[in-house]
Amino acid sequence: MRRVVSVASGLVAVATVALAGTAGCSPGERAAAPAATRSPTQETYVSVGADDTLGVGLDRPLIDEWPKVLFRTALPRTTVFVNAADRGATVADALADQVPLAVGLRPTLVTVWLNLDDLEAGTPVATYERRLAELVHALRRDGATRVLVANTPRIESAPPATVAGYNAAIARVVRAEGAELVDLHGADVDAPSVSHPSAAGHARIAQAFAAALRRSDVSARQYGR
Amino acid sequence: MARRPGRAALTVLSVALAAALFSALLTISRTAQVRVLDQLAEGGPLAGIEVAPAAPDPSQVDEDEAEPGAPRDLDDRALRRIAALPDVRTVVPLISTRVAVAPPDPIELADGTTVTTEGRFGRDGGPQGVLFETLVGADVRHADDLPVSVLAGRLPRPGSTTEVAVATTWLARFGLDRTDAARMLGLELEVGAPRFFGDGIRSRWTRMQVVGVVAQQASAGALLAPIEAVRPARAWSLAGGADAGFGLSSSPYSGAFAVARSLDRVAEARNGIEDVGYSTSAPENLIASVQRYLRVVEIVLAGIGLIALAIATLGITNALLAAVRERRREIGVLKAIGARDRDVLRLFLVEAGVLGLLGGLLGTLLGLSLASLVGVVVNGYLRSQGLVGVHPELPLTVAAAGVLGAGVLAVVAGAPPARRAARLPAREAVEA
Repeated sequence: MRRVVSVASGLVAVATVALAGTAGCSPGERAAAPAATRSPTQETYVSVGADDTLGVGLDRPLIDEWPKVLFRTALPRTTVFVNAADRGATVADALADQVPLAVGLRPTLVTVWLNLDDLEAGTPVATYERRLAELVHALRRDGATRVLVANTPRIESAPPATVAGYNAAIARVVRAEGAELVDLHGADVDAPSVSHPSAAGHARIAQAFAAALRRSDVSARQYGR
Repeated sequence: MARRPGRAALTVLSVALAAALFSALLTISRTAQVRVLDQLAEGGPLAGIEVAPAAPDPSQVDEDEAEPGAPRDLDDRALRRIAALPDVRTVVPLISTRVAVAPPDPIELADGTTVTTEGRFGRDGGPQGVLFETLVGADVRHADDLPVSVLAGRLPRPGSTTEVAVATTWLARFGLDRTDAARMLGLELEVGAPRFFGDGIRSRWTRMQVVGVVAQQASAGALLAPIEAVRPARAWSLAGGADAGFGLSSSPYSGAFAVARSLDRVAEARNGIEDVGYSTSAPENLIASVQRYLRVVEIVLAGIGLIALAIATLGITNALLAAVRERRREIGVLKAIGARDRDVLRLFLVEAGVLGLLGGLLGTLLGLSLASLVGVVVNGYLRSQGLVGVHPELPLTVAAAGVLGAGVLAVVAGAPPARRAARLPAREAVEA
């Protein structure tokens, strides 16, 4: 009898431990909150420009416009993007409206494409250069912001000499202000005459800006992929 | 028992089977109860309370789904007052904002197939290739206190600005249902918070990756992100003027989800929050009614199990009666050498108790295993339907009660034969 009781007591002890381990367990279907993450330094990208920076004429401008393509393909996922462009904006218009908005966002990257509407308005080259210098200087925020400035692409409707004058002015401003030049004139992009670039054209424009971004050593460290 | 090991084993087995039935029925009943109540609470705590940025409507007091009164800003000060209420355990603030979402089209899902949003804009859709949705921000560190169930993947990490979970309403945008939830994981979304400027709208865009698919009732919205990601988006939109065509109010928070200290204190917690000045809603009446019905079912099932146990312990009576007959000489010898009647009584009662405890313990384990097996089969079906699974569990107190109950019943059943053995005259027993 003693032997039976001792064996039974042993079994009771083992089974009690097993039961305590299984009873009352409730792994939840609700996943526990994952561990917190420390967000990397946020990059802010602002695009300054006019119709072609807004993707006017595209079926899906908010997806296919070149600043959005650049944002999607060439910048870190943590980047915040605001398109400050206005329809029909000249450099003077941008100085009044877009620059205060952009500077207020304290961007780390700004792209500028402002020449087609000034060409259409007949802005003299000297005036254009002065205003563009003021705009780029403000956007650079004493070197805190990387600024990419696009020159004028090949346009059938504009006199080549005028386009060359604008592009020379842009090159001078870029050198003086420490910005980066995006050579749309030399790139194979859809040059707008009476229509705006296609989605494929916007993609090529984005590639041109991305190439300019990569060329800069500093940009590669900040945005390299 | 040592003389007839086979009879002892059969006796233990009969008690074990009855105990298995008792514990399996209780486990299944308790699991079903938890699942039903969980469904009623929509994945959140049972004592959860929705707090709206609105004053309470006096005519809606005690209603589960109270209609809110006039709008009222819900700010940090109000949340601190609510959190300080004695009946409130936690309060989780919520922020929601309208956003444009630009998924790539066609969308490549994780398994390589493609779906498109072409023609699926619905009432909230719009041109330019984007969808319009509501982005809900919550402190996901308190995910357990929110009515959120993860169907696939996981919740976004607290503090992340690049992770988002999509709700089941988002799946419908692409003609998918819950069974396709996992196919959304890894999708890249571009999310833009609109802001009205005098000459048009400009959006603040961020890129977010879908890390989870959830069923959520924290706040109306197809996208769920950490509050740190939503706050700047909402601030951007509000800077253009509150309700500038985007359906936003000026309230710092779009709502909050409070949890009372217990289900019994939900009514008091709601009264306290309404005294602070905010409208609340909670399914407390519905949960209380359902709990009552489920308790009746549990009692009936437990009764069935107890009847089975009682029948099994009769086997102990039968086995011990046979043992008394066979061991008359042994009993006589014990008494002849000085054992008292109560010593013999104790001997047989202990035997009965050991048989009962052993059978009860083995049976409880077996019952829990059976219930787990049933749970595996049920979960397979539920998950194939895109539903949340169940987790069979038996509270330790109930398991212990089952085991001890079997032991007590066995001792009671063994009492008559034990008394008979105790009353046997020594001389008569020896001469048998």
